[in-house]
Amino acid sequence: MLTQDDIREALRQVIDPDVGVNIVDLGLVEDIRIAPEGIYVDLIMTTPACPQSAYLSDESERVVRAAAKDAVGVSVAVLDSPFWEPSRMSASAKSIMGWPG
Amino acid sequence: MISVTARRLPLLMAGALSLAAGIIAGEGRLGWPVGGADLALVHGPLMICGFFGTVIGLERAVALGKAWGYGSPLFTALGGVALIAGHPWAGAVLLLAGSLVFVAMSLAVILRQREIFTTVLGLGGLAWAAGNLLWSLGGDAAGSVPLWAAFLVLTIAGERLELSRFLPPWRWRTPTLLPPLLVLLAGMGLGSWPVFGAGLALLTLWSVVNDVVRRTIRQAGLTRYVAVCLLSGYAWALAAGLLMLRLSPGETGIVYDAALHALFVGFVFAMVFGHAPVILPAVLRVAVPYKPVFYLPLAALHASLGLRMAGDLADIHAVRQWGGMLNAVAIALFIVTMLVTVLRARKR
Repeated sequence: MLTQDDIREALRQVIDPDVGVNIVDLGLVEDIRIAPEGIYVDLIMTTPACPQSAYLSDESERVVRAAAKDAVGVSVAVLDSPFWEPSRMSASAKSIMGWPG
Repeated sequence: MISVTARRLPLLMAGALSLAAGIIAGEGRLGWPVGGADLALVHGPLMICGFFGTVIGLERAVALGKAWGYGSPLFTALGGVALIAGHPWAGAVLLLAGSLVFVAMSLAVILRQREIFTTVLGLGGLAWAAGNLLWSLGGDAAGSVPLWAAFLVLTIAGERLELSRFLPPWRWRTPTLLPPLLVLLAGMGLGSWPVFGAGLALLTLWSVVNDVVRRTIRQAGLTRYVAVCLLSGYAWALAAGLLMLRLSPGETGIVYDAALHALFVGFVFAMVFGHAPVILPAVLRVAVPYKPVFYLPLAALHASLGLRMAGDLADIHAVRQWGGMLNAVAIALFIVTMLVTVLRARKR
């Protein structure tokens, strides 16, 4: 049985091409839920003007499906809120972007 | 149900039609025997509104995810077709309609997220619509060029500004953005190229300091390629701004030609080259896996534009002509590179 951490790890394969950092470290993964009928992933974008939304959700669905070996349903949603804030970035993403450690 | 690709591809292809006709018109202006004297008159509107406007409108509609948003690229693509068919007034009105839908999309984004970068994107949309309005009222296309230039510059600046939020916070980031922005807008409003150029040069310097390229250039693969496209584009934007400082009001000679093409070919096309592999997967749901060969069309673009600039500034017509022709070759090379990359990825 997959855990939330397994799914989070799989989502690290999804890279935001504009910055070259994965969506987990960028803080774009809002929620991961595991239910008997399937796996649910909620993403947020940095802005509603972000055209990457469809690409990042497609990629997320693909990597989670691969991790789940198609055993269960996978559903990825892009939420309108909350808004992304820089504080959502992980220490490693901040370090790559030059934040003082 | 029609697939996403099947719905969006025709819009992109219609935009590409404007690109092809716009390039042919440009070659005609340079004196290459390509025919179509009427087409030469609408070179700028085809390139800026029919092509860039349509792809930017499509991208914004995809981002917003509202069906009505697709009216923007639909109208502008049809506007481009009308221009090609020899109906400049109908074309101008359709382009105006498309840009007004674009303004509505920008407003929807601002209402959802009130930030400086959404405002800059919105100002870009307004500049475009204002330029189209002026042109459709029977103005000379040249009178709309500062507004159209501002549309592209502000759209790119807004998108880069958005990404700058990944960088460490800097309290002077917004305060230092405002003077270049206001100078650029003043130049646009007054129709003064030297003022516009000063704003453009300052905005470019601000961008280099505040763009994530400073970090992403150290990464690898696609991310680094995008950073190289951006940085090389910024160099042309700076050159364009400095050339504009030398223009007198109403001047349309060789320095004007050099300044505009440094901006639209050097800066804007470098952005397109860098943005396409990132955006095509989102817009068309196709994979564009990075290949080092992506650098080849980029190098061809910059080399051919360098040749054209040399021809302009030394006033040697044949050099300018060949530079312009090779610009077209570089763009064609880029399109072929993207197509081959997408088709190869699909086979696997």
